[in-house]
Amino acid sequence: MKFFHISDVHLGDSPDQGFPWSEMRQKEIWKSFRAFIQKVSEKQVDLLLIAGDLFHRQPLIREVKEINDLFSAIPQTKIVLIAGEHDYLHPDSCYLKFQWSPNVFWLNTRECGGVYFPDLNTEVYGLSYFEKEMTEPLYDNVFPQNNGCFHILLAHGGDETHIPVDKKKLAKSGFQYVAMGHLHKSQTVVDRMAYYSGSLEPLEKTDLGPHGYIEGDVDAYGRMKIRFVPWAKREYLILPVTSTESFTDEDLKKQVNEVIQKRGKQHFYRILIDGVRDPAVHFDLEGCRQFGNIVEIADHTTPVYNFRKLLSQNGNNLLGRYIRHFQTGALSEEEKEALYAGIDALLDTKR
Amino acid sequence: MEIKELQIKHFGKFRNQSIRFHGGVNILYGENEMGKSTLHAFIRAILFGMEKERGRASKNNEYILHEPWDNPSYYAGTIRFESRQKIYRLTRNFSEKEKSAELFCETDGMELPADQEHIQKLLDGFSETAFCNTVFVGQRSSETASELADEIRNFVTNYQEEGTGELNVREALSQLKERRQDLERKRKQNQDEKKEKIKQTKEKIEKTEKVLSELRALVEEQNSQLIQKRDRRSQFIHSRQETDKKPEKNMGLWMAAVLFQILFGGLAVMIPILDLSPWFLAVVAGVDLIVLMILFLQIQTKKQRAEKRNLDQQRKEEEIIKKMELEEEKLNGKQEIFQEEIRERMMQLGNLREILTEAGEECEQDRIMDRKIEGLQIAENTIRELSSQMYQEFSENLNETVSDILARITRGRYTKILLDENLNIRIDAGDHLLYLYQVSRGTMDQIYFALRMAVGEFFFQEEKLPVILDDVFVMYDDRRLKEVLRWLFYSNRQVLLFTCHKRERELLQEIIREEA
Repeated sequence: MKFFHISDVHLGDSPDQGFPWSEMRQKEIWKSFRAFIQKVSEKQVDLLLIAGDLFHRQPLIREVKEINDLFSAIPQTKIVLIAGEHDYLHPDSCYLKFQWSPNVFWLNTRECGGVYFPDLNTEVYGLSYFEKEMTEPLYDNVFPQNNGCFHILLAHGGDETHIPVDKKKLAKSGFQYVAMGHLHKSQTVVDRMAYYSGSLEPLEKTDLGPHGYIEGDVDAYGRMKIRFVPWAKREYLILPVTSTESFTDEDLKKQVNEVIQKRGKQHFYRILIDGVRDPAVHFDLEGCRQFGNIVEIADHTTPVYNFRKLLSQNGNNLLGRYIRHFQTGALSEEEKEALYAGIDALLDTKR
Repeated sequence: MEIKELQIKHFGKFRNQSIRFHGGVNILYGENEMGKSTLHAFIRAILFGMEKERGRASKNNEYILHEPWDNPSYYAGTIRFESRQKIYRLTRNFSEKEKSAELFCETDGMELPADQEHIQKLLDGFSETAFCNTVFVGQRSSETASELADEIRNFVTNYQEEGTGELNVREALSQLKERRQDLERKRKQNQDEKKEKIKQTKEKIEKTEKVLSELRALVEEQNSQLIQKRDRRSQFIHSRQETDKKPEKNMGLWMAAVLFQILFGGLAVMIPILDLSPWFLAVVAGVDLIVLMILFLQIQTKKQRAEKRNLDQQRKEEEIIKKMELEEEKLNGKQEIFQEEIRERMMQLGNLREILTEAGEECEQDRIMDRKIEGLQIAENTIRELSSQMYQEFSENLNETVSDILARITRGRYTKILLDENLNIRIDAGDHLLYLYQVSRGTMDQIYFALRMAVGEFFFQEEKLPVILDDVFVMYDDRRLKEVLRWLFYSNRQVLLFTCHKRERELLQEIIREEA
């Protein structure tokens, strides 16, 4: 049996609000999902597991129709879905009313239910969200029937407000595979057993690294092989820049440009400048946007003022008093800002 | 600091001349047009340089005024001076084309960089403005320039500074303010964009709500139609049932049959009484039978006819009911579609409301900006606070020093003056305060002189700069002049006093004699 596990497709989401590519991304997420279904068809997948949040918000009928059209085009694949906290089962949810293609199986109960596929000798368990938040540890006491088939748990959440999951209990639950959704980053929960596939596409700047799906193969003896397959063409990447005392704005631009050229213009970059800088150097942060898709650019550098020297040179003048004014214990972020801005302005306007 | 020697290569009317000075009070006597003011200007030019293209017209004039017309490349000179026990030689060429400066320490035999920062260090940090507003007093300029207030403010903030250049509070503050306002503009722009998004979403919500209420009204209307139709149908069915209950009756025919029977029964009884022939009886029975049969037949056909009529009616009615039901069904279907639409719109509305809440949330970028704005505001406030605090400390001290000098040069006539923030001077005349315009020109000169000396002394205590005075005591009477000279004599400074009068020298000699 071959299965694909995805989650958090978030159809309808338009990431990076306010940035020029936001709308384009909304379309791309749909495009990516359509292409993914194509892939499912090509690979002759037996079972497609969608672990919640297929939609970003409550889906509309026409959207559900489109999804169903896609699903009905792969009748040889059985598709099992649950609703997550984003597309939870609202009393009027289109998910519930819709006449789905016969190869689509919804686990749409509050308590864990199951669906059994004799031809695959596989049973999939799961439940759906009925509210945006579910704080009960609903997966803690779910155990598969001891009937010799391959047992999968389709789960969504895992944090405090979204069905907390006890890893130890999960490890002992008896499932052969736990397909999890909710976290956008692909990761292992219990080794060789429980995994987050991560969102199919990265959706916000914190969704770093590659995004895709998990492919699993189960042989006749129930032995499972799984691997993560990168799917999204774009990534959010941190572009770290370490500034030194001799680092200039030009150096910054050169480095940013070089990295973006090398890693690809399609990605979204978060430029985080760290380290120290010459107080006279001011980085033109907005100017860096010309080199690519910059979703964040933050200057966390500390200007290297030689406080001892400054103090000895400016013992009792305004600058000296200014520095000493702020040397009275821990500074808030605003006060730090004030300290550097004030020194900067005083030195900059010096005659 | 002590000026040892001026070597003038070419400056104004001077050519290849050198003048030496000693410590203490030097009186340079010369009649008008002897070049005293040129010499005075030379000292300033040699110490601070001179630029042709420097903003103000007066400074250009200074350059042009002293520029030699025959050989401009010799527009140059040297000053030898002592600073911190070392002798320095500063040579400048003022000419625009070959402008240069050399600084040489004779004591160490070392060439030094001749940039203004270095030179200023040797001058105890004095800037040209500070110099011109304190120890360097020109003819009829004993009044301190209006910029002195600003200058003093900057002195205050640079208090006890050592050769790091001068801070400029006003500009620093305006730079901070500019940066803050720039950020505030951007912040506002962001907020406006957000507001726009919220507005748009709200409009969409309103639109959806409107469509929804229209749909609901439509559904309501259809509902009442449906109810009407249903009522009509059930009424119809009801009325039909009622007509069914009263079937047509053939009472007349039945009555006739019974009557006939009674009639013929009577006849049959009469036959044995009247003893009629049995044949008659048979005939009567036969007629009765025939009549009865006819009557029964009549009833039967009537019944059949009625039944047929009934069946037709029923079929018709059933058709009507079916039609009614069909209509209702159609309406119901429509209703269903509208209900679907309503649910869809409701879903949309829910989604839009979610977007609206999310749009109102503060994002990280805003928080960073707010922090920066707040930081800049703190910086501004702190600088302002510290600066006025320092000014407070300073003005108290300055008031004391000025008052002290004034008391000495007026021999105790005025013992206290008060300077406000803008360096406006008021004089404490014992029982009341006098404004500057209320005192004589001579007194005013004395006060300004005291202020210049006090500021100079106050800030530059380490290395006393020479006091360079170009004919500043013209308005003083002999008594006042003597007191000022006495103060200068005891002030432990080098004094270069340019004058066209002989009385300064005479009075100084008097003071020296009195000393002895």
